[in-house]
Amino acid sequence: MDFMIDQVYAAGGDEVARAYASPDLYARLVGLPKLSTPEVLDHRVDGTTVRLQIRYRFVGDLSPAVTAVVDPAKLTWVEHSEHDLAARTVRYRLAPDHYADRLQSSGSCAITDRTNGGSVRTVTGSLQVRALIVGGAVERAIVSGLKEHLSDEVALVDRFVADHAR
Amino acid sequence: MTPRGRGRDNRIMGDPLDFYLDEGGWPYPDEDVDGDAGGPADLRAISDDDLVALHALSPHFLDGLTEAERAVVVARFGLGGAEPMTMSQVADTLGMSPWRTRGLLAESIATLRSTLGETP
Repeated sequence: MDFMIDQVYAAGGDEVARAYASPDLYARLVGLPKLSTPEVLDHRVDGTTVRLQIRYRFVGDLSPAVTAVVDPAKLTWVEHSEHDLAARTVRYRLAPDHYADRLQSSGSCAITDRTNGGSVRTVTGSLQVRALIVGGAVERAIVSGLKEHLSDEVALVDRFVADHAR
Repeated sequence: MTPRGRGRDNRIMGDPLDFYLDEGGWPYPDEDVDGDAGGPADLRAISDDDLVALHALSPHFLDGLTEAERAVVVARFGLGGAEPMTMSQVADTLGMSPWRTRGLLAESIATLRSTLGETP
């Protein structure tokens, strides 16, 4: 399934782009719903390009019918992202730790300034879970959880930007 | 149609229903001949997981199907304890046309997905 999620920040676009490219941000993303605290595995900087590898674990709710056939503990993946700080864009793909042939996701993020201040980060992507009966249910659970997670993430990112501006 | 070396990625990440509607696909012809599983390992693993799911969810999960739909699903996936059948074998066994067999399987899967609250 395809998805598009807008995150609205008080902070400006450049600051938000830099925040997401900073490995320090991710340790601050604690207590958010549906996804565990991210774990930064790798961080490389090449000019205005930053590459990150971050492990996530899905901790949202799944129906008993889904958990009968999908082990929630195995819903973990590494997000490989490439941040273009000049363009304020990010390209990402997910590499599942388990169910590698069954779960596929990739997408991009773009940050734009708002005319009345602040910025908007638009996350677009597609997620496919290959399972005959429960695939759609897992896709919906993950995307729903991602929306909730990204919504709650905004306040923490704004706070991170504010702290680093001091 | 043979599953080997053609459209593999689409089979993995496309709608899995297409994989099971394929008359020449799973279960692979040589799967039981010499004890070795046929077909690409990743597709075998996926079909194994789908079978685990269907077994875990049946028989109660099949209550919403018509008698004909249930017969097709049970035969296709071996839910009654028998070996899974190819689409051709299901059609021959149940005395249905291939077209009707495909239609009933597609309808059955749509119903089962809907039972899980999935948008078809």
